[in-house]
Amino acid sequence: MATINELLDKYFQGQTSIAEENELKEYFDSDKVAEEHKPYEAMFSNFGQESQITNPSKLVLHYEPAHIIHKNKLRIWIASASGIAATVLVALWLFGTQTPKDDYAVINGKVIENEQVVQKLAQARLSKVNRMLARNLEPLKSIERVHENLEPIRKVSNISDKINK
Amino acid sequence: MDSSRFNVYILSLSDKLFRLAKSILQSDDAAQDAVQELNLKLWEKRDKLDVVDNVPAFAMRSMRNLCLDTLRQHRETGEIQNDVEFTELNPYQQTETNDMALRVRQMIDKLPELQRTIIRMRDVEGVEISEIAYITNLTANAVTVNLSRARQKIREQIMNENKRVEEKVWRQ
Repeated sequence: MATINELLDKYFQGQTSIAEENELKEYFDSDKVAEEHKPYEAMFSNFGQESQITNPSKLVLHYEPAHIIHKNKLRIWIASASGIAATVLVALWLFGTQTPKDDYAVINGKVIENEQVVQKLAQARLSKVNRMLARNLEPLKSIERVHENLEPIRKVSNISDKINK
Repeated sequence: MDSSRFNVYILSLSDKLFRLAKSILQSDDAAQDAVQELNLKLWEKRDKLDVVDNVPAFAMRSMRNLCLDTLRQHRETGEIQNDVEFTELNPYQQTETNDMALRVRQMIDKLPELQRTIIRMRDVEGVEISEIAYITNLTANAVTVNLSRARQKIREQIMNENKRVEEKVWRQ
């Protein structure tokens, strides 16, 4: 019993090690808790309960396997090219019209002169544009599929052309 | 750091980060938003995470700083009150919760932010004092002092509660 009392004294002084605290947790989790220690039972019980609280909205990042990347290569290439084109256009708009003397950009009504900050903000906006473009190019996939499905009809029309000749 | 390693190192800490944010912000929704915001921020900086020695401690420290910034912003706009100081539970709270463990949780929630963060990091998460010192930007000695104060305040509250219950029994 003295050991638990000693451990509790150390615990309330903030001097216990993790191992000693685990010893206390085990003791208070058991059915051998002495009457004099009962008041502390709820404290250790709460710590155990709190450690079970989980984040209800967990985010997991998924990465695409190689074969999917291959299929989407063209789409990604178009999106990247569009992104680069947009970068050039926005960069021209941001910096092209400025004389060296007026080296600044106006973002959300604020004049920002720090080149690095402007570049960072522009990059953030451009990656957003890039993401939007990638999303908007999705319907092109359907056109590609329609094109593929029309192939047999085209063959039939070729055959009928030959017969007519 | 690629997405698979990011999942292992950062997203596996999701529950711990959520509990820390919930303890500081005192709201489930705000805590979820804070964890998501931190995940995005860390994802943007994932290339730099490879040089960090202790990624979990770094993430916990970033989580606390982000939550404190959120609290500061809310205080400036008058959305919430200043940090809740240690007070006794009101009679409504006392009758509302019969579960003593839940009452202890409410007692911890009433501690100043630093003390409740430290007591939870140590007693719920089992974090070493040196790591708590890094996360809270304090010395190890200051962490021990705050931990001791927090535990003693909870003990004092529990003893007062028990005394009140005993008195009630004798009066009946």
